[in-house]
Amino acid sequence: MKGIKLIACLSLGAAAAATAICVQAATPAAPAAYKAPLNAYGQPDLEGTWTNASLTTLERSKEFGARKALSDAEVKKIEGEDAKMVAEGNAPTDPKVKTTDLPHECGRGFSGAGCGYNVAWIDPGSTVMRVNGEPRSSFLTEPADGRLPPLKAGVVLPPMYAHRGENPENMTLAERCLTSFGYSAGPIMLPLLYNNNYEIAQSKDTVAIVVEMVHDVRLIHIGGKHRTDGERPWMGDSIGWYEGPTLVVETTNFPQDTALHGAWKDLKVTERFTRVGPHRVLYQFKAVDPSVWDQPIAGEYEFSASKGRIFEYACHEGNYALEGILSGARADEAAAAEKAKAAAANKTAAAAPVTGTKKQ
Amino acid sequence: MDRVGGHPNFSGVWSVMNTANWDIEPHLARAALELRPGPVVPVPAKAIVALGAVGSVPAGMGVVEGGKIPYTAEALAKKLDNQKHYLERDPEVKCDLPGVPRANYMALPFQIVQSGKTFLMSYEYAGAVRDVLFTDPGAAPIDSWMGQSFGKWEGDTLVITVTGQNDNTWFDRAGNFHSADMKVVERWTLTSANTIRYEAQITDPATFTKPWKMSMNLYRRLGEDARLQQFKCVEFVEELMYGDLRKEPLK
Repeated sequence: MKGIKLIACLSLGAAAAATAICVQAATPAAPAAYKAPLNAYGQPDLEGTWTNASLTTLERSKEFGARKALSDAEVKKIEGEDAKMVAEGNAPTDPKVKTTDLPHECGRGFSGAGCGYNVAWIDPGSTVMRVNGEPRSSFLTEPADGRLPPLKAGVVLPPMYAHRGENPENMTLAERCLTSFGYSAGPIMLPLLYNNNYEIAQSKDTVAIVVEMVHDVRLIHIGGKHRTDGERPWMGDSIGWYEGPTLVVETTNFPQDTALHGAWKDLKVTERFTRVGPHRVLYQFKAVDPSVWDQPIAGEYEFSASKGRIFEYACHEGNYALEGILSGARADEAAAAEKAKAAAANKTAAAAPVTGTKKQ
Repeated sequence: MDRVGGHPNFSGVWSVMNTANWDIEPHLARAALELRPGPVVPVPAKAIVALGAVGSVPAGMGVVEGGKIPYTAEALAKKLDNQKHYLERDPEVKCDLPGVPRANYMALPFQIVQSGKTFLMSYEYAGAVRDVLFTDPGAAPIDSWMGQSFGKWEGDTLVITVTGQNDNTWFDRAGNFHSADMKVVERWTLTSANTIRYEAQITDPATFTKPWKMSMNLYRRLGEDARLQQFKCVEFVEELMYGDLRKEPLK
């Protein structure tokens, strides 16, 4: 089971690495009819359990060009295809079928044994993202084509899977249970294949965002100042303030290990959280890193209220997959060495002159 | 007293100033958490020797009311055996989540984020987190490392009942343990602007002959000390847990 989970996650990780990112910001105004509640401190009340699960992705499919809104027909097609895939995935599996008989393609980029989870185990959302009711083709709204801008000349992303399997440190942060896959914790906070749940809690001087994967808590210091000691904590260094109904969060000091599509050293992410309905929080984001991109990236989506509470995601404590991967790599090496040894022995035997003692 | 939502406001960064995480029972300083027989007196286990004085255990008055934990005879034998195999058994060594009540008196601080309706505890150690529920959630749907916390106010005291914890966590580094049937009833009371009196009653018939209680003070961190740091220790134990599986294990 662990191995199956891992395969699915790896595929997701690879996809995230290839497309990663972020966002931006648009400035949609909150619907005038809704007045966001205040909490006991007189701050905009953002507390609750929220999810950003969505069929909409960070980047826009090229077929939509500069169009950020989807038509009704396009929504029906996207959501219909997902529902069909889910129904097929939920169909009983013939117990006689082997992993080698698995369908070549099973959706979301997975195939064969990499099909991983049954659909019951994943929760990527079943609807496209709607912002102020408008169905969206991507989270990104800037650049206008909804796609990440090219990296500046000379910027090279480190290979993601170099020396994979050689040491635990060569594995991804998520496989090591250090952070989530993709950018679940953020910032920028982006949905994944599953566990797209967050809890927001507010005190007078702190906002805590609990991230289901991997039970990370991002603490935002209201009225605080960025650290200047050169240290770069996980998830960066977040400070915040309130602007009317909106919580504004500014994050800098990102570590290289959690680079956002190559951006970390000079990266500044600005997020805006605005409650736009009893069960909706508008999330807008903007990321700037002049050393990586020639232009900001920005985008938006809406969190919706999660129906349940967040359960514990104790990743490390059950991470049999990492041990399995490393053990598997060592087994592969041993098998390869044995095969090479046998081949060498055969070659030697074939090349050796025929000798023997004739009986006189 | 600062209040929010009509209740005492516990928001802030807190930590103990005791040695309960080493041993919740009264104890003198000793050479190491795991000892082996020596020619004269017990000496540190081989793996601890290199740490010298850093590997020793500081003394403490203990936090168990009455001094001794009322173990059953069988459970006491297991606790003593845990001490003999400390390095391989203490979940803290492997950076596992700490459980309750241990999370509250580890050497690292934790932050309470409280509003009129929310009470969240974020721990520096391993990024552990607890969300106190104020509507009865019923039985925990499944055991977990940090369990399920259900809170209610009794005057100015927050009473939190913690159930649904698995049996993998310990109370301290001295081998004190519990079963998955343990129920913890915590009582959190602000005794000044900067101090909390913390009590926890432990009920676990599978392990103890009767319920017992621990109590201690928690202190508010002020100024530059009041910023929770991160202690994601998972990466710190990879050599311990996976070092033998490296392509080229270290000598």
